[in-house]
Amino acid sequence: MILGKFIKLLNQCGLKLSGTAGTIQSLYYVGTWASRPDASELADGVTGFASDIGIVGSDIVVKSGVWRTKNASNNMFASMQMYIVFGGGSATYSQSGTTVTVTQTSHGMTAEQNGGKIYLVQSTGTFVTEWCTGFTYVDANTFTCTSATSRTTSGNLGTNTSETFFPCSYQYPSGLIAAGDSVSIIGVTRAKNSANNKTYKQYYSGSLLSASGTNVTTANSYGNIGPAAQTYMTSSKFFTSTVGTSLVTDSDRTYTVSVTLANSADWGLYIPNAYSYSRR
Amino acid sequence: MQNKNIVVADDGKELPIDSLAHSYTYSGGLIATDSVVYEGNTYRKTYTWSGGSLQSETGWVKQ
Repeated sequence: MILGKFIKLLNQCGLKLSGTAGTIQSLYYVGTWASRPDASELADGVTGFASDIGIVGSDIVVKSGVWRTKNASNNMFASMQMYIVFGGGSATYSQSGTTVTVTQTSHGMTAEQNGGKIYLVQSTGTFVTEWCTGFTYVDANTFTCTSATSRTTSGNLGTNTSETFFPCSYQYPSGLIAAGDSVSIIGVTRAKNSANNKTYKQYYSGSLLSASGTNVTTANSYGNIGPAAQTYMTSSKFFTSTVGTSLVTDSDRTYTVSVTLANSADWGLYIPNAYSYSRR
Repeated sequence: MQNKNIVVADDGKELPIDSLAHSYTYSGGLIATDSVVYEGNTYRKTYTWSGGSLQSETGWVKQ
């Protein structure tokens, strides 16, 4: 009776028990990584499925009292949202309702960027700096996008040559990364065709991953950027591609990406492609 | 009974934070402040970032 209630309770928790012999050796868990059962009292080889690890979920298995992914590697994220940082030089705008119409001579963007999010900086008028949604190409000098706030206004956009982060950071789940594991990031860039630098930087846990000045693009073509993987020597300390005096202490397991435009006449695009996890 | 997410501002006012309209400001592509208006007063939360990672956020402060 007690065992029956136990099995019923397990089922309610997304667990299936297919054999008992003193210890729990054949448990099967289905659910999110965060809700996985405590593995400290489970035998090695107990399996499960974490629905939110990797693009289609991942088989997981207990090893030495902790859950580990069965696959050696997982692609954690693949939203192909497009983000554009707009330099804003000599650009004007008008807003009616939530529709913002931006005019800049020869902005250099195309309809391929339709649907992207674009960062506009305010200078005059009552528009407020924000990530607008729904970039729509109108013509070589005009595009529209959607503000989160409805208003009627017009003015000049501000110039933006400061480091600007794309709103697509990714944080690895707690308890996933162990000593010997590696994580890495890769994304797609494209920028206005000009001789001016557009410098992309990737950070992990707040640490710049490559030397300043790398990942510079001047061409209006799609390219992939991604620094070397971050490998954990312990469960909380990793090294980057830059040789330092000590290992980096992980604080938040989070990747972030930024771009700095050298000239406000330009723009830089980024599409997060993959945040990868490789188990030792 | 409907569950409401209540937060307490620095002046002791209980804010039904999920039911209020939020307005955001951005700096360097990141959210700098989150503001709400409740009973005629503006309350603001300020975020601090480093390397694109959130370092800290204040409580709700009456302006």
